[in-house]
Amino acid sequence: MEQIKFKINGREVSGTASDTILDVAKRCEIDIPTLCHIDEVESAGACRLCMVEVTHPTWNGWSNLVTSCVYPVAEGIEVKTNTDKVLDTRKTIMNMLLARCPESDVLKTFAKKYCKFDHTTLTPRENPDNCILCTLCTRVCDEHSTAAISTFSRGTSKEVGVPLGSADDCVGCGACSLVCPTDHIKFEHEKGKWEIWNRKFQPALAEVNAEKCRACGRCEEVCPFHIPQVTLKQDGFPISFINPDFCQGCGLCVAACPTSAIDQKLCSEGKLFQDISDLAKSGTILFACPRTPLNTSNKSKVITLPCVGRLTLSMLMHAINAGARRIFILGRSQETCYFSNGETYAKFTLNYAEQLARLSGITDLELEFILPEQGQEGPNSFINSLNTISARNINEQDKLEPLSGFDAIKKMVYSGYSSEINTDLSLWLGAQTNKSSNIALFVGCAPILDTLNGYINGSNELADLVNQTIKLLNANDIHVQVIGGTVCHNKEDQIEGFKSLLKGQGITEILFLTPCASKNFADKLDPDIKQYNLCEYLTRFIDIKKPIDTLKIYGKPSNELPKGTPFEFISEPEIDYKLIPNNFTVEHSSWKQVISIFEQADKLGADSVLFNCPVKYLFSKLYVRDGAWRTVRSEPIFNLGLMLRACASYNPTQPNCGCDK
Amino acid sequence: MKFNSIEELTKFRNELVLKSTSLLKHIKICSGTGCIAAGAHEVFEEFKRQTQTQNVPACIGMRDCPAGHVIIKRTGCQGFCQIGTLVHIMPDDILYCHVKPSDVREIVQETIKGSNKIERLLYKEEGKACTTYKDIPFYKHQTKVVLKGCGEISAYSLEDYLVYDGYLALTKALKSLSPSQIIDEIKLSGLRGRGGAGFSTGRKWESCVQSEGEERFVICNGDEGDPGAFMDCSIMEGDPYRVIEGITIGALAVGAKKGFIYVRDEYPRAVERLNKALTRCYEFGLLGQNILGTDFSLDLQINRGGGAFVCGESTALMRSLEGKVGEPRAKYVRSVQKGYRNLPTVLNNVETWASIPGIINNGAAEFAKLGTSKSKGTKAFCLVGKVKNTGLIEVPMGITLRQIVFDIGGGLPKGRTFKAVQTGGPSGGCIPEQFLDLPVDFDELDKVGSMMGSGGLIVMDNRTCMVDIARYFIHFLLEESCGKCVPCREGLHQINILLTQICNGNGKIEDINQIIELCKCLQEGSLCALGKSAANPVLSTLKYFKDEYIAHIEKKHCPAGVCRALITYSINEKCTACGKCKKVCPVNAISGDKKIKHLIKPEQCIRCGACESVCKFDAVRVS
Repeated sequence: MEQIKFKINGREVSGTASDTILDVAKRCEIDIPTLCHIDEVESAGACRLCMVEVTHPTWNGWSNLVTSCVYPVAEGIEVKTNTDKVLDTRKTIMNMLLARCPESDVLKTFAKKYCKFDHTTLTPRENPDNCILCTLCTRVCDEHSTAAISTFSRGTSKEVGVPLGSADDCVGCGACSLVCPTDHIKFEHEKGKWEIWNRKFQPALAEVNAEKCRACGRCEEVCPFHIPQVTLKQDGFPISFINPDFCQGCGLCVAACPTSAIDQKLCSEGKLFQDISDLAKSGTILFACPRTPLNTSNKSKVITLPCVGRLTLSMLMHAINAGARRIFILGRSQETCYFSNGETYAKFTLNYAEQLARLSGITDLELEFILPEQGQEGPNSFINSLNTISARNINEQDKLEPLSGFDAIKKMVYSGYSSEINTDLSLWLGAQTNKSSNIALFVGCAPILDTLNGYINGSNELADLVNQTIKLLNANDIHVQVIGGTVCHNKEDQIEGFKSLLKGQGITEILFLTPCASKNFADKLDPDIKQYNLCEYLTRFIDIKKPIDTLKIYGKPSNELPKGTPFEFISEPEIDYKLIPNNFTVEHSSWKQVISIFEQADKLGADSVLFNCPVKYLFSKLYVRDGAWRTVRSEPIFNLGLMLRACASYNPTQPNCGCDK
Repeated sequence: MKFNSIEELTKFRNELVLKSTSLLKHIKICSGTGCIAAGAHEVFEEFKRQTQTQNVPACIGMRDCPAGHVIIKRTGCQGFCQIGTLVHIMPDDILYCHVKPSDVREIVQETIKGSNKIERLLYKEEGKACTTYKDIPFYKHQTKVVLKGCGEISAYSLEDYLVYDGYLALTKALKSLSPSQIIDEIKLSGLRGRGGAGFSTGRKWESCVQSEGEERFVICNGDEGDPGAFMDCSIMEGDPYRVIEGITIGALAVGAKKGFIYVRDEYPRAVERLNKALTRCYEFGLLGQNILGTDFSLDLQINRGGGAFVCGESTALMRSLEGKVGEPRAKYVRSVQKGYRNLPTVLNNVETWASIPGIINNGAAEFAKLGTSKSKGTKAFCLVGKVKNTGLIEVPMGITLRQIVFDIGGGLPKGRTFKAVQTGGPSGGCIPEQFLDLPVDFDELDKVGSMMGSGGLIVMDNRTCMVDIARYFIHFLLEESCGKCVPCREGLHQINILLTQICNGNGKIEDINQIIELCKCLQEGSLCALGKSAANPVLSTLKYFKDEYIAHIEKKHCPAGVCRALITYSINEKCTACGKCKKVCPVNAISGDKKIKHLIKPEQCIRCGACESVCKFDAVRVS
């Protein structure tokens, strides 16, 4: 697209015709305050805090205050974000907002930062709440969900609410609460219930079948809320535990579980398969996010999942076998969704299905993830636009093997390995084998699924971590190759599979990343290969290269550490876990709070910062200082390894915090 | 009946015109809102009855009216609302005022059957009767262009409209003008939007044509909400066909196939008359598919507002039309590019649309003859407030405020002196006496901190408190603010609090600076024109009448005697003990008896002023 050049505060910048001044300023990291804008919904220009002064060389000195969130960029304009006029107007508006919501801490912090005061000189509102009527909630509901909420009345008596006092259309997506800049809208979501706008929803709670669970930890990785936890049972065997008090019922773990050990009573696999069989007869099948505005007639035409991320490979296989040749997944913007990652997972699953179908010789298949147009009409008009095709009659012998979970993946591995198809799989493996390497990393708790698709979450990130650590320790000649695999419970078929993966790769050492990995496992693979667990391995280097002093960590560990661990926890930061940058865009103001914690840590001479979730089960993030603070996602079972890395990567010559760059 | 070609329409009109000249008399009964309240319907019915009993051949519709008959019409607002019900008789050019049904018998007897004037029903200027309509000073100084048909023709009759040059412009446009020629003509006329902002109508149309879009729309803004303004209402009620013809020409020029007339819900009569007019236009082939047998089609529909003042703002109006909450949006991308349903849209005010037929028919030069260099033509105003003659007027641009207030309005009622005039509705500024010789046009009013607005003119006298006026308008706007943007919603609320404090005698001197700061933020920071101009009444009164604010704050005194917390009522020696005030006092705060001078108990008095308004002896004083 054609670039439009203009100036902000004298600096040459550029954007396209669809950009607003604020879009460009954000990209250029020029700070313009706003309380009513997020990228995912149409701007309203309601809070008026993002006003800037605009002029143009041809305007004869005339300038005008405009709202940068809606003002389209134009060639040659000169934008100033901090003139007296801008600051005066901003101050008065802030003063007005503080009079409206005198008790809002978010506003006070915001006002202090941008206007250097946090008290109104005007008459404060009686019985105030924290709603500043930015209408982000109603806009996000209108554009991404079911338009269940709206503003009512006008002027000062205006308020956000539900029509006639009942939230009939609300689907409990929580987007309104997510986008609320002042935390006014509360989304209660614990103890197996959601409550918002006085409406209660029942999440389809995930339950673990102890017989099937291999404690691979995949559920831990995919859960947007970090609820599943791999723990040791009393008999010493590990198992995943999903606390029903905190489970939100999205079903991502159900879909991700390679051993089909998790199911949801309210959305059981059996019921879904029945629905798929029924609908596939038309040749076209739609899986839909439950939080889109579908009208009643269209609701019956789709299979509603608790989240599109609940979609499994076996469901798709089943649909194909039942005759469906066009399969669509109807999603919604995951940036405004409470279940932040569903779309990503659904797309991966679609991708696998496509590859599998291709390997099986099915070519007339249309598989697509649909993000319908925003607004109330979008998904409905998409469904209405579909002309159903007649279903294929599938001969028994042509049917795809009814595979699920791990079996399906294995099939892909074997077929992909032997075929010449240039899939993600072969690309990935090729890339790895280009480097000379003699060490294989078996990432215990991350199934092969991730590894194959380059899905960097737990396993590859950790592999990268190990490689970087080794590099930092000047052991440049060693390169660790990730092979991956689930190594819990010795299973003969797995061993056979891994043997073939290792074949001819010249692997001499294997690292295990899980405490539950069996050492004998490697012996069964090849008795000549040496095995280590990561902690041992790293300690080996550290012992040689650099003795460990006590590492100062700002924070508190979420689980108990082994005795004698050389860590000193210097303070527990009082920080809301919500502030931790997650998948949803973190408000700028929250980031600033995070940074202030780093600054505090810096003052105390900490080497690392550990954030813990107040939900005391799992989830912590370690920020490690290596020149700049950087984030390492961590599960507590890996904490030890990560902290070792923190030791290794600590470089006292570069003390500056790089976060606010 | 449907006209399938321009020729058919022309033939039909010619027949009507011929017939019209052969009619014996035209009895035009004003059926504007004011006169209906004064009993116009009853007068109309009485005329029908009396002509029958007195054997005067009379008809109501032009179409079936044989030559030599008398025609009785219900017209739109004739303007001089204060003296309704008005009955205008042609060709004698007699205007009877304050007509009651009981007068009708005599009118038919004397004026219709004979040619005598009834002295007591004539308008009297300083005791002297005005024998003809044109002699009445209220009308003498006006120039009617847009309001020409309003008050002349029957608001229900397409035939009547045709007789008064109706649809000449459309036929001309269809026959001999290309769309770009129409736009050129409008540009040449210098017509500026009558809704308030004063943007060149021709340029607006031109930009719409230049914008890309699969469809274009025309919208007529009839959501007139300013207190005391009823120009658009009167035009829609009195001359609906002119508005429709204007919109049709506009649609032809910009290539729109769909149009809307957005009418305020509080104007049921306008909706009724427009609906009737639309139905007839469809019937006659003047709207719908292939208008007058040409390729041009237009579908026009009426939408009723929901009672929100802010929906008169163009972008809010369009959102309301789309079925959404009527809130404005920023106009950095103009609605001629992205308007209704994000497609190019021309939105004009009722008065602007009603100006179009005249410009096309008589030519741009004729229109541009009137007015000032940058504001052409005439403007309709609603003259209200503390002035002798109130009503609907139309004057050429450039006329001075003094001429409007004193020549047409007849000055202030006895004993009162002029203080200010507010133009442009609730967001207009108050203009003091020193600017009375200001020529009224878009730019001059802007310069003194007020605006043309849609054309409200409120005259204020010495008994009007300017702080109270500012508070009143701020309160009005506060109630009507949509609440979308912070400065308008919260700013007006805060200004209202401060002004109320001042009116209650609790104001502090620093409040003035706080008010100014809030007003500036409102002007700079608001999203739409409602907020941006909302500060005008406060800032203009603060500029020209600051002493009144100071008096309220420092002396706890309301110079005009209006603010209840700061005044006391008392009865002086002029009291004749007539007892009238005692009777009307709602709280029994007045004591006294026959032949005993009355007294007001200050602790009981609620300062409603009822006593003052009934006292004939000027004995109740306020201080």
